[in-house]
Amino acid sequence: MAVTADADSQVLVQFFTKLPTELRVPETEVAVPSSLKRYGLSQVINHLLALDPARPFDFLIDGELLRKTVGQHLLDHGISPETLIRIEYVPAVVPPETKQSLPHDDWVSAVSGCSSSDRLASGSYDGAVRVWDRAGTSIASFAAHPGGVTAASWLPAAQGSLLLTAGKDGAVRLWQVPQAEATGRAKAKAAQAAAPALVSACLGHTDTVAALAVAPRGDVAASGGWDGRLLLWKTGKGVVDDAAAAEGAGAAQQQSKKKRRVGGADEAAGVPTAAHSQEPSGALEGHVHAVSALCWAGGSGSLLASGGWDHSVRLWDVAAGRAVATYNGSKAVYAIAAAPSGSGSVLVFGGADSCLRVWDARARGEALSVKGYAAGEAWLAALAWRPPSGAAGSEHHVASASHDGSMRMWDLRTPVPLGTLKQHTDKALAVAWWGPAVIASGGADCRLQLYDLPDAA
Amino acid sequence: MPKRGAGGEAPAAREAAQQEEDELPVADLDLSSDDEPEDVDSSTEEDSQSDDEDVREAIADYMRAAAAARPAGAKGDGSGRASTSSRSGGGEDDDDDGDDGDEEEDGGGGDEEDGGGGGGAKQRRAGAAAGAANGHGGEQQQEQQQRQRRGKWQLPEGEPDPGSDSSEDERPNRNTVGDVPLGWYKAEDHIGYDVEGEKIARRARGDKLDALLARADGGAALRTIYDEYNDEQIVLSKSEIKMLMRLRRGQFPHLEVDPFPEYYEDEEVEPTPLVNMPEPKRRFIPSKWEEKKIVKIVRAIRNGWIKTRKQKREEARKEDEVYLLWGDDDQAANKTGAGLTHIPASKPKLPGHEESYNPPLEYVPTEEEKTSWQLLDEEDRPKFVPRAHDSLRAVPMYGDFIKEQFERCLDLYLCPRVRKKRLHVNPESLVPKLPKPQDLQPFPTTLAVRYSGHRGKVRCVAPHPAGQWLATGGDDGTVRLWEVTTGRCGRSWELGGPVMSLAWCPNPELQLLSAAVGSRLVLLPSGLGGAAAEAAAAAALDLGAAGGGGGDAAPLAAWRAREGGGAEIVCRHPVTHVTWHARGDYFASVAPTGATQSVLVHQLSKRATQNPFRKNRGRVTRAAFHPAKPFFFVATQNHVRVYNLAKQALAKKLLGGGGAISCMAVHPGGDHLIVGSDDKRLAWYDLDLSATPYKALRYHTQPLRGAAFHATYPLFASAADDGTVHVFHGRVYADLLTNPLIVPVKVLRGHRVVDHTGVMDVAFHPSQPWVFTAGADGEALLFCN
Repeated sequence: MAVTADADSQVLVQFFTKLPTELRVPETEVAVPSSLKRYGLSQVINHLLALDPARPFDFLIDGELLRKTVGQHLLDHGISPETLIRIEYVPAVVPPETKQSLPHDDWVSAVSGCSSSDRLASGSYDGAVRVWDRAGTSIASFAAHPGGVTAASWLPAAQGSLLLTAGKDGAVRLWQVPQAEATGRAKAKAAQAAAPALVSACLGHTDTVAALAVAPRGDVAASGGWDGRLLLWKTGKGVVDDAAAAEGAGAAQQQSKKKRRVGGADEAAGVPTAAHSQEPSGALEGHVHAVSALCWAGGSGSLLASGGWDHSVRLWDVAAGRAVATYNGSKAVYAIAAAPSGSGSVLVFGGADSCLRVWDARARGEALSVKGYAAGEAWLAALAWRPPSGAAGSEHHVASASHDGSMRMWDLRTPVPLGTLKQHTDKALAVAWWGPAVIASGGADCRLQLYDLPDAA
Repeated sequence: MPKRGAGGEAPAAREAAQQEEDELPVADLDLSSDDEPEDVDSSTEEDSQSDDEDVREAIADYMRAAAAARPAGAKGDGSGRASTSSRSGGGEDDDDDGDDGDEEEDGGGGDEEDGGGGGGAKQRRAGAAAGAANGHGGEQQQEQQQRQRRGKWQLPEGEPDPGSDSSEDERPNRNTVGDVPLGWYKAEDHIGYDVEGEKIARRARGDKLDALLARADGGAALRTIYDEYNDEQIVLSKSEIKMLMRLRRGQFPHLEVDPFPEYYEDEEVEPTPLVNMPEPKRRFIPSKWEEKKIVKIVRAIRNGWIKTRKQKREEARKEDEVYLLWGDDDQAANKTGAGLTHIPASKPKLPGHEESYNPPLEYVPTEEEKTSWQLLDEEDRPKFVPRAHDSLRAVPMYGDFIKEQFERCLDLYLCPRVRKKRLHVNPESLVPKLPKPQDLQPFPTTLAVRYSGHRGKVRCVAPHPAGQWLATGGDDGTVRLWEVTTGRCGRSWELGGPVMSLAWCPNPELQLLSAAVGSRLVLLPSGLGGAAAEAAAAAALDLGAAGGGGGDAAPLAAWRAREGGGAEIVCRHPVTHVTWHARGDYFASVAPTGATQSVLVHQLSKRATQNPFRKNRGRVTRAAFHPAKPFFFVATQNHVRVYNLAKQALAKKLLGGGGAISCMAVHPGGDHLIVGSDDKRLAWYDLDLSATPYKALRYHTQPLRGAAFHATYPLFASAADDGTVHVFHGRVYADLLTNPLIVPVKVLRGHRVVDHTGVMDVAFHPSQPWVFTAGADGEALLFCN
């Protein structure tokens, strides 16, 4: 064995895995020193498998990632070190690395990555929405909301190339962003071609819209604002068709307006008026203060999670229009995220607190069902759950942005973040996954920061 | 006569007896065999021993009695007759008892030969009948009994039955000397004379040793007594002894005597009463005299004039009780009868060896010790130094005698006779029990957001009523609008002078911000509520119609439009404070230097200004509207005046402290007020209570600058020039009985003290337990929980 048993105490462990057979070790009992950490156990596995380029592994004891020594972990969890401990090993997730930094004119307050196409939208306090491609070039930039964009979200590709934005002007707007056919052309030309068109304006909020969430299928969106209302909107192709029908005669006029707006420098004044506007399709009553965080839970599109300044986190059954579960905390909630697939009963949320909280809504009793993971010193501003990918354990991954300027990537099976990257010199305000392998975060230092997960393949 | 009859019969009877004796053994044995075991028992068993003791005592008693009775018996028949009559009832029944005498033959064996005389025989016979009175030897008794039987059988015809005659029992004495001291015959050989006049020879008696031995042998000797008069041994039968015992016990000598014979009374009720009187009344009513008597006695008992038996017993017991002679030695706390404290005399140590005139050497200090003592302080020196003297004569007079006597007299003279009572109070117990700050959460604790941008002091903070925005105004002449969570400056207005005060219009339709800049009051449409709010604000501030200050010749203030949006009211004096009424129409401005025009109330809807007070007593520093009632608070330097606007009268005057009042805040409930002043004091007034502060909180080290209540949480805070903000938990109870609970929970530090000014203003977030502070270091801070 690579690790000699010179430690004072040893524990009997048995390794198992769900990896393919070539990475499996014989399921025999091995005595390892209890002072071993993840790295030591990884060395053991590498030795047993005789891997030439050593591969890092992560280890799970009863579904929890090992971050301390084996002995300490057992002590913390009240597991007797004299029993046989079954340890699952999975390929270690390499922490994200800094990839690229995209400059903005103002604070970046909203980020959304389109999972299907290679585009990223960012909204900032100057009211502009910018669309970026993988190369880091700005495809399009358009004034969307005077006073600042607070949220942006791509609709799924099935609904077409649609972007939903919300801003401090209390409006939610649906934009048609044309696909960029060729990137090799001249930039100006590309920008011209990619001029986004306002499809529909959703008018219902009377104050700043603080949160926006598009349902997994893309036909419904929810928005919450400082007027304390949680509204549901129709989006997607249906609205585009309606708008096209409504546009009718004034199409040419609209077109000219758009041109002027895109080219003009005065963006705050250049937000177009939509030919088509819609009323909210529904409202969820319950929050008594600002609704500041929204996300759809699970892949079914029937559960919506919301958090607000009334310190409550609510899980809504959208079809029934009532709250399924409510957690009343003690701090305002700024961000919420739920697994995009599965039943969607596990939520992470954070807010005016330096704590990432994990709430399993299935568990009864609020106090027991919420775990808190320490996340630095500053407030938690944004959360994003990793979209489904082939990587093992990716369904447990969450990215968070804090006011101390750091982006943290979490594996919810351990209270310690997988990686903390402090790239922003000021507050980080928004975070989003751009596909399963890239994280984007925007901050008050007027930059959009991209991070890469090296082994996502 | 019967005596003689008996006597005459005697010789024949005696003969018969003698004859019988020869034949008798069979019968005798027969008779005795019945009682033999009993006798054996009595000799062996212990209780029979004690019986014997009793018997002996009884006999001794009897002897004494007999000695006393003899003279009477000798003189006349009375006593003897009495004794025989007592026996007569059961003479027949005691036959078997008489038989007991059989085995006692040996005891009286000596008597046989001298029983020859007829008189003696007669005597014996009578003696057997008399029993207890005069005992005889066993054989005589037996003889006599047999004779008796025989007599019964052979009673001559015509002779009176001797058993029926009581005189038959009387036994004549053998001796006839009469009632003379027997001592006269002591020296003689005879004891006296018989009836014939012959000397009765004294019989030889065994000495005492024999008697003792005989007694030790038990048997009849125990029951034998000696008759000195007749010089005879008399053996008592068992029945006689029993009779003696009964007499000793005070019982009847014979068992068969019934002392209480049944008494028959004629119970026949006469049909006719003897008297025809009606039953008297006193038979039916309780006696009055008895009652009076009882009342008297009861009163006497109650008053203690007479004592019941129980009380007497108690008293007797009390008298017998023991008590501690020195028991009051430790009762120093008690007062004496004169009301003085009992001070026990000190108990000095008893003199020991060292006080001796010639103490052992080890007690006598050496020269070195003496010199070392001399070096000591006078108080530390030993009081007594042992010294050795050859003799008691050599002991000098005690050196300090006069001094000590004098001091003792002084002590007695000056002794305080009243003990000073000192209260021992633990200071900890006087501190009120306050809950721990941890239990009073939430309250702001940590610095969350910095709002930096002002160049110069930030003078005032005003959170937007919805909670999303924060307005600050500073010495650089700008009013800035910040997003609360991110610290992003959303908007900024240049007002051209230090902004002294900021306040949001409570009307959510207008989103109007008011600022006091110099002598101007600027109303700014903040542009937050969207187009609708902006339009409403513009309409509200449209000054086309209204001209301004009420049309007076000397207008109090001029309303005019402000270039860049909004409106401004130009007053005649520098305005330092602006505050809004909760409904959002009226707002008041305070200009401390304005004298009579220092408080102005403006009305937004009419765009009018009025001066509610003709004159103000003192320099007005702050003003505030009551949140619900038509009250108006005006803080001058030393007082807070509460005016009832509806009645247009002074409702209450609150007294301030030493320093000038610098800030004031009204509790959202309206019944409480906090006032901060330059004497570093934050005073909490309960308007329902007195005019003085309910609590004065002196926590700051520098004059106060700002005070604020939270709208929903039970929190209030004060800011001061020492750069700190103190957060207090101030819970107000709905019931009027419970006083407000005020607990200091947190000191917030974050501002630098610049130019002797620290925190300029403090305000709470409208919905969260957060506090905003404006610092002289050019920053506004948000502290969150």
